[in-house]
Amino acid sequence: MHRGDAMEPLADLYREHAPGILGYLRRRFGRRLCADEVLQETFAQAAARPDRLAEAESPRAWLFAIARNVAVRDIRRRRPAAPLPEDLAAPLPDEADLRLERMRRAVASLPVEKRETLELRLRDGLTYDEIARVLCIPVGTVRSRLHHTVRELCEALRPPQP
Amino acid sequence: MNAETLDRLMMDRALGAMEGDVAALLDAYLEASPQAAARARQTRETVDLARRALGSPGAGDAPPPAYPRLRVQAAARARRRRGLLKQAAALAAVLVIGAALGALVSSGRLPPKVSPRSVAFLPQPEGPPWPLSAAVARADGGEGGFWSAGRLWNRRSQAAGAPPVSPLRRTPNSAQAPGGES
Repeated sequence: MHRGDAMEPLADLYREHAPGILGYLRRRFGRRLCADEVLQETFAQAAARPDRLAEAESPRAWLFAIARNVAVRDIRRRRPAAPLPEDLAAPLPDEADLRLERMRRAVASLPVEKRETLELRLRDGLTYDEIARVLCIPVGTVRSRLHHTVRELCEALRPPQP
Repeated sequence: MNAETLDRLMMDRALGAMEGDVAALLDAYLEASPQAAARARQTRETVDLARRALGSPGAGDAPPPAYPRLRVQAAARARRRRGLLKQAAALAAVLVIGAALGALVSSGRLPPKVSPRSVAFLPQPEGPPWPLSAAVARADGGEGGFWSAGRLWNRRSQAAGAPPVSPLRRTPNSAQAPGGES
């Protein structure tokens, strides 16, 4: 059997998850890294650990975790003293909806860990368990973090008291 | 249902992290409680608005590059090479240790291995195989301590059917001494 055949499952995973991972990298880290390069390095590292791929309950979460680690390492290698990016990178289309604009500001003002957790759930569609694997935190922490975040956003949308 | 539990359930429902049957139970509960239903609706609208604010994945983005087949294959080959190197290093270490032990044995620094079978067929000496120290015999009262050589020798002799020999009585002219005359 050709050795390349053993890599076919990884090629299938690439077709299935590369758009989501790339979107996550672009929005999470913006222009501070080359998202395409990080995506390719992610799958190269996945190829170097086929046993971990076979054991992973959620290949998507595992790939997201590798991508995140590769991106963080890349940013730290280039600028070791700079903090990790906190702002949302991709600008949204203009919206006349005032509530949506307030929500954007409220989301942008969230702490990094809360915003990242919220993004992984609402934008990237990861389950609680997958988010826990990506961020290396307990599932209970994911759940409570999301709950706190939603409460904060509810408060932010509430009209100011006269 | 207490307020905290209801709040957590509504959050999970709004975040889409609730099983269908549990969601149905919650909806049935909310139908009976207008106040709770209003809070659930507000939570759901907040989450929907947050989802819109974050934008959908890949909206307006360039498609991902082609699958990096060559890079992935190179990484897999590198991993296989590392695995082979580790096995070769382990084998080399085993061979070096074995050769070192063999050299030590052949140079006489280590005693050769003697199998139990070869010991069983060796001619048994008639007396203790080693000279006993009179000082040691006096120290244990002449009877031989539990771990004394004399006691050990007597046990061996008894097992072979010979009468016990007190190591303190053994003299060069003793009948039981090797080559002695009665």
